Parts: sequence; C-alpha cells; structure tokens
Amino acid sequence: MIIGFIFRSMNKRTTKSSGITISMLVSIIVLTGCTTSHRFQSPLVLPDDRQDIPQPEPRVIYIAEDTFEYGFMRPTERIFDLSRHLRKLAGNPKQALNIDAFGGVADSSWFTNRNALKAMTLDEIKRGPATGSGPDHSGFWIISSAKTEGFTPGFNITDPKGVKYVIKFDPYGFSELSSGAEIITSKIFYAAGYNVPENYIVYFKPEILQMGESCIMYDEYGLQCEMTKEDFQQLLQKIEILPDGRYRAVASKYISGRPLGGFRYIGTRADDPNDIVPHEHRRELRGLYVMCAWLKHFDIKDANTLDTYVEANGRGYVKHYLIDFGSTLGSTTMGPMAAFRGHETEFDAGTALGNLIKLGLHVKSWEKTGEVAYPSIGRYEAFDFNPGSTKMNYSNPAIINLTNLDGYWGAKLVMSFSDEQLQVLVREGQYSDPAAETYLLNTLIRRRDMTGRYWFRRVNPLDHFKISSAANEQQWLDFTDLGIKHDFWSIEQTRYRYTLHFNNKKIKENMQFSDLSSLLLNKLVEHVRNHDVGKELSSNSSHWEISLQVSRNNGKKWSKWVKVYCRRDPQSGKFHLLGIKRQN
Amino acid sequence: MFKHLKNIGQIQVLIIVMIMGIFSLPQYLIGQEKKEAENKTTTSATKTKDPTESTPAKAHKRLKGHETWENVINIPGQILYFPIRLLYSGVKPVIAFVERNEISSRIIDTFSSDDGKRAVYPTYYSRSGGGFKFYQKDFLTPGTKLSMTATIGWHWRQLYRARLRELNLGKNLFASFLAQHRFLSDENFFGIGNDSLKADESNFALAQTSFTSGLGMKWGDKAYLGTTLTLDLNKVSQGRDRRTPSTTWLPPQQQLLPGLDEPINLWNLNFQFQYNSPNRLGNPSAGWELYFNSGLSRQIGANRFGFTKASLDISRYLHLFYDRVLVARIAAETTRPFSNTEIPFYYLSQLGHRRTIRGFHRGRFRDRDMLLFTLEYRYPLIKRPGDKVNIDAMLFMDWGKVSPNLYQSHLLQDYHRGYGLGLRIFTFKGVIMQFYFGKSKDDYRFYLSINE
Repeated sequence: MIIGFIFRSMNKRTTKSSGITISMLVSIIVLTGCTTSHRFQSPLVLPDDRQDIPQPEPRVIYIAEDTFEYGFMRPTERIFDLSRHLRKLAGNPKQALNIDAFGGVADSSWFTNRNALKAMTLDEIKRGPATGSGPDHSGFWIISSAKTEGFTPGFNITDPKGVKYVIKFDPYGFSELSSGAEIITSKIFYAAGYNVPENYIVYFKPEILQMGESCIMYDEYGLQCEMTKEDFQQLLQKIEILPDGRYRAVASKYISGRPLGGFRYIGTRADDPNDIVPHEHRRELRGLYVMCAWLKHFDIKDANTLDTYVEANGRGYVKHYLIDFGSTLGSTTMGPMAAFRGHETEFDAGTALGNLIKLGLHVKSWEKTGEVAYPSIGRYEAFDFNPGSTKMNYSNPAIINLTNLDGYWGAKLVMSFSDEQLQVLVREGQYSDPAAETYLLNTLIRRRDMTGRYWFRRVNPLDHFKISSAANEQQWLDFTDLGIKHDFWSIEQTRYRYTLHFNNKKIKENMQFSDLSSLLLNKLVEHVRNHDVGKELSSNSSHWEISLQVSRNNGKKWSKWVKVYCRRDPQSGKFHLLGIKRQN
Repeated sequence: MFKHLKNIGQIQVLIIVMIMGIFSLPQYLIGQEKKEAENKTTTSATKTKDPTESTPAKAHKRLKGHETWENVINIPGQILYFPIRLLYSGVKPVIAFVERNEISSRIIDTFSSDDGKRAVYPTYYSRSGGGFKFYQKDFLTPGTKLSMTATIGWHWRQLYRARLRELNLGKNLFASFLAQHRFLSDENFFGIGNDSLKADESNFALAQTSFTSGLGMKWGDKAYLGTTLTLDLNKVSQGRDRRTPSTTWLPPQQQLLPGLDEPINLWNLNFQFQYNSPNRLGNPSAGWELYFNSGLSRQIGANRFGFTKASLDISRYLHLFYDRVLVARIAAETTRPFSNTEIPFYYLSQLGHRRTIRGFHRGRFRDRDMLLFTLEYRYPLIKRPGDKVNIDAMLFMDWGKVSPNLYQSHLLQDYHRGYGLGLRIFTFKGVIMQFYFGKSKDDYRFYLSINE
C-alpha cells in the first residue's frame, strides 16, 4: 500500500517532501527495479506547447560559457548526483518526460512527426522545408554583413524581393563539400520531424553581389568593423570559382519570426510558459543523438540552435530550430572532417587518460584512416561507425541522459528513411561526381542499417501495436517486428512468446505463438475464462497486460519485454489499446 | 606560427581572467547579473499586464529534472558539491563577461598585429621564471626575428633578453645580436666530480650580463655555420640561504672555488655548426638535429681564467608507428683550461637539469667533461589535425656522467640515471608547454616550460 502510494506520488510528480523513510523505500524499489502493479500507468499528458504567450526576451548563447558549463560544471555536478548513480546501478535510468502512451512524442513547437509516422512522398522529401525556390536572381543581392572569421567567408544578403538569406560557401579547394552536407542533412532532419531553416544550393556570378550601405563584418577575432571594398574583394578571393565563372553556395533563408537566440539543451526557458519539460528530458532532444551519430553531426551545441517567436492562428509562441548543418556527413566548414570526429570529443580527457595508461600501444581505428576518397564528401565512412558510442563535440546534457528507449525512438526515425528517399536526398546535394554521390548514398544506407541493428537489439523492437477484428468476432493484437521489417534477423529463427496478466494476476506465462505479426486475443480471453478470475471478465474494470518477448535464435535467448496494456468492454467484448511499456 | 600563438594566448588570457574572477570580480558581476535578471523580470511582468496583448496561456507547472525522493537522496552529494557550485557561481559570470565583451579577442588584438608578424605572449622558463615575450618577424629585413623577453621567478630570479636573429646580410649571410641579463639567485652546488654528494648541497647567486654578436651562413634550410663573439660579465654572490658552496672536495691548499671570490669578465669566441632536418616542428617524427659548438674564453683584464669548450649534441627522431616516436640523443661536452689558467666553476659542464638528466637538481654534477644519453618514447594522448593543440606523453630515460677527463675514464661505467614521464602540448608549428616528472636516486623533480 505504501509502495502504491509512493508510485502514485511519483507519477503525479508530487513536489511535497515525502520524508527520508519513503525515499529510502523508493530507492530500494529503484535498486531492485521491481513493481507489483500490472496496470497501465498513463504518462503525464502534456498541454500543447504552442499556446499564446507574450514574446520572450532575446538572449545570446555564449560558446565559452557553454563549453565551461557543459564541459566541466555539469559533468562534475553529475558526479555528486547520487540518485542518478542509484538509478544506473539499478538499470533504471530516468526516462524522457514528454512521451505518450506508446513511447512517442506529440507534435509540438520542437518536433512534428513526419516520415516515421507516415512515409513522405519522394516529392515531399525533396522539397523538405522549402517554401520557394531560393533567392531571386533578377537583381542585385545586397550584402548587409559579412563573416570573415574561419576559413570560409559568408554573407547576409537581401534579394530583390526583400527576402533575407545567409550565403555560405564551401571551403576553398573542397567544392560541394559543406554545401552538399548542409542541404542533405537539413532535409533529413526536416523529414525526421525537426524544425530547420530553408536551405537552397545556389549558383551565381560574383557581379550579383553588391555591398550595402554601412556593411559590417566580423574579423578573425570576432570583432565587428565596417567592411570596405578592399575587404570585400579580399573575401571574394577566398571563395572558389567554378570553371564557368560562377560561385556555388548555400542560401539559408532567414527563419520566420522574431529570433530569440538559441535554446539550451538543459532546463527550461524561464520566460516561455509553454516550456515546461526540462530540455535534457525531452525525447526528441535525447533521441537526436541517434540522428546525429548517423549523419556525423558532431557539433550539437546550444549555439547551433535558434528559438523564434512565431505568430500563427492568432497565437504567438516559441518555435525551436536546429541550424547549421555544414559540419555534418564528412564535412566541416574548414575542409573534410578530421578523422577523430565521432570517436573523440574536442578535448577528450577520458580518452587521453586511457591513452596515457595504454602507452600508445593501442592504435585506434581512426588513426589508420588515410586520405579522403572523395573531396566533395569528406570523411564519412561506415567501417568504423559505432552507433552507440559516437562521440559529440562536448557533453550535451540531453545526450548524456540518453536511454535505450530514447535511442530506439531515434533509431525509428533513422530507419524510416527508405533507400529511395535517401537517393532523392543525396541528389539534392548536386554533386558533380556521380561516384561521390553513389559513395555517399551507400554510406548513408550502411550507417542507417548499422544504427537500426544496434538500437533494435538493445530493446524489444515490436512496435506499431493495434487491435484488429475479423467478421467472425476474432480480435487480434497486431504488431510490427521492426527487426524483421528491416531484414536484420531471419524470420525462420524468430520466435515470440507472451505472458498474460489479468487484473494483476498472472494467467499464463511464456506462451509461445507462431504468428509473425499478430496475437489472437480471443485465445487470451479463453485463458482468463478458464482461470479462477474468469468471473471478473464481466466487470467494468478489467486490466490486461500482455508482456511480449522475441527470440532470434529459435527460443534459446529471449529479448527484453514490451508490455501491451488493454481494456476489454464486458458488453461488446471489444478490446481497447491503452498503451505500452517497453523495458529499457 | 602566430596562428597558434593567438590560440594559446586566448586560452591563457581566459585562464588569467578566470583566476582573477574567482577572487575579485564575481561579486560585482553577480550583482550585475542579478540586476539584469531583475530588469528582465520586470519587463516580462509589465508585458504580461499589457491589456493590448493577447491573453497569455495558462501557465502550467514546470516539470522537474529530479523528483522529491531523488532530491532527498541527493542531499549528501549536494553538500559535497556546494563549494564547487560556489566556485562555479563566481567563474561562470566571469567567463560570460569575458566572452560577451570580447575581452579575450581584444587583448589578443591589442598584443598582436593584424599581419600576424608581431605578438606578445606569456612564457615560463624553469630556470628564470615566468614573464612575457615580445616577438616580431621581418624586423628590418625579411626573415629577421626580433624577440624581447622579461621573466621573473621565485627568489627574484630574473631574465631580460633582447635578441635579433637572422638579420639578412645577403648571399646567405646572417648576423645575430643578443643582449641579456640574468640573475639566478638560487643555483645549486654540490661539489665537483661525478661522485659529489647530495648532502653537500649549497647554493649561490649568479648575476650574468652578456652581449653577443654573431655571423653565420646557411646552406639550404638545414645547415648553418657560424661564429659568435660574446662578452660575459659575471658576478657570484651568496645564495638565498647564505651557504656558500662547499670547498671540502678541494685540495687543502686551495681554499676557494675558482670564480667564487671575484667578478669575472670574459670574452668568448665560438664556432658553431648546426644541421636540422626534422620533418616538422612541434612534434618531429623523423630527421636529425645536430649541434656542434667549439670556442675559447679568456678573462678580460687579468689572466687567471681562460678555457676552451667544445660540445656536440645529436638527436635522432625515429617514427615507430602512427605518430609514436622514439627520440635518441647523445651529447658530450669538454672544457679545458689553458696552461696556468682556471675555469670558473659555473662554466664547467654540468648534469642535472631539464636538458640533461631529469630527476636531479640543477647543477647536481659538475666537472670538465660530460657525456649524456637520452631515450625518449613519445606517444599521442590527444591527436588533432591542422593547427590545433595536440598533447603527447613521453617516457624517458637519461644516463649521464661527468668526469675530469672523459678519455681517461671508463666509457661504460659510473653513469647516473634518471627516468620519468612527461607531457608536451604543441601544435605542428611549435611546442607550447612541456611538463616533466623525473625520478633519480636522489630525488624526484618537476619541470615546466611555456613558450620557451
């Protein structure tokens, strides 16, 4: 009873102090990971976060501040987070807070379920977030400011129609490298469900660029100064000219709405009342890791995000964007991605310590990589890809909290891209070398499959549950085995079994069944009817828990469980799906 | 060269400001932050009350990262974390302040030229302490390097140096000039000879002013032949603990160390040959480094001191595999007096500093001749491409001995040994910082150098 009270308290997210005794009891429960309830505990229903709010204050994300906080302070803080260690010991990490009854996330200002919910058409995939066709070439592009720091220059321009764009160029000597990556990756993120800017590949003659009045630039130290014509000419010399005399660049359209600065991967935005879920506990931000690992997007930091205040349908709210995809796939804005990317962080103290102890006798796989095969693709390979241990630039708090379930959710996004869709996306990179295009496509496919295989092995990959009925009053619990759907495991060696609990009582245990994608519910009703609790079938509150497991080796070893919760209407005998719970 | 100096400079400036901030700035800045936050709150509150704006959504309760039971369990951890959090509270606003106001960029901009040829950066020498170095490329003629250094260390060790190198005279002829004053207040002396005892430790202070001019010729990029003429003004005084060097090792009739009792002014004429073929700066993985120096020194205004000195120093870099490098080094030095002259004891060959046997005190062994062998295995800890900062670790072993006459001593016997490990922070343009930990039969020693 006490335990029940505690769990109810936890589910209601009670903030009142429950006392040390209760906490100790809870910690014991967490440690043992046990619970006696076989009833569905509905996750917290969150309000739509696109409700009308006053415009929050813009803010600036400072990279050094962030690096210090995420690189030093937060890791130190986590060392002293005893509950976190306790959860880890118990194999019961804190799960995302914004999940629905089926482990997914609802559409929000952060994320819109797209390709994984319903496969987008090839046209939709190709179009991505685009609402037009890029900057207008009928007149001058007026430069309002320029970026000179780094290896590649960039311009902020206004086209003849008054639409503003950021023009970003490829690093000199590596034509198509970052522009191709930016286009492809942004469209993939869009199709996955994230908010991204509209990016276009543009080709233009230098004459179309014209300096605006009081054009500013940022020098190599990031200091602002006024750009002179000499500066402008010097900038143009840093840009590679194509054989036909044109420049190739990415035109990134200014995001609509009023920019508010980047979002943080931790906490909530204090001046946004809609923002109630700590960002490090948002599934779409935790699961972002899987997407980023696939696409080698190592630089997921606050500075590569943007919040805007948008007004739509009479409501003003904050919309959250991911921006800057130039350093993805095999590219960085300075040239091909360094070999260590994805394997080590920028300053990887842990790895350095390991290297110190190993006396340099262990040569890492990335140290053996040679020159890049395709300069337009950079260093994007599959042979040394590990979907679960790809390292980002620094400790992103959302990614630190990644659980198997977040990874599984992210892997579903990744696996939602078909070969055909990826082919269309790669063509959007407009690579001049067909061999490079083929290489990129094949690598994307291989890394996608490695991602799926990795994460689908870590949890039970039975999904897309629904109840179907036939004319003969037979009802089925239909599901999709994602491992079989994507040909990761053989059908012949796959077996399923279930354990049935009815009103908290175990009715049957480890019953194997042979159907590949469905379980006959009428059979379960029979089990209950033949049991002592059969008379409870006619009561209004019947709780059904069907725990499913899968084996990939003819039943020798079984996977983690996924529990499906149903309710059965005593009058009509119809089953209703309530939700699922998946073992982490 | 300057690219990495700028990066280093930024980090160092940031660290200095952070340290300052811990002790002084935070309170002011925290106050400012609070004021800003209050202002923002006031603004938001005002906006919410504005009747012309649409009615805001009902505020929902924010979810917490930790639940109640987790917070209770975390109390001990929070208590332990409190001092760090306090430090964090101080440092974070400072970092934000530095970045927001582009202080780091502005300082770098102030202390370095736009063309990257001129810069001021911090430096640290284990012998003379920390300070700053001003550096200018292409001074007077293309390729000429001007540097000015001022450092100060514990016990008022000081170094002031102005150096002009590679002044191009045409036809591969180069001139160089050096003016230097150093006050080494804490030099060790343990006696003379290979079997001097640690228990005989004493110390002295050496004030030395030098003026050097040189002329040299380059053969390609790798070889250099040159000559220098130096005027040394030396004065030895009592060390910091006022124990003058021991004379117990001396014959009874000789009561004072040569050079201890009087200021000595010397002129030195030296001939040098250098051959450098490392494949890259910072972290060579192949090639040779060879230095040969031979010269004679005479006292000015008297005939008591005079000697010749010759030294050879050869390093070989061997690439083992994937940037694992073995460095083998052999160095030898011999010092001989002229007839009826003496050698000031601080001009004798010595072992026991960072460039010889690591693990011993500086000047632990002194005598006329010296022989040294070093093996160093370097392997990467953090390996980054381009001009990014790399870190190598190294394991090393040094063997060396001093002798009144190397030719008469047994070549394979009586070596002192030091071993240890170290870290080198570098870019592929130069070494930024080196840190060594050396262990010997006497002791263990730490060595640090920054932008040396």
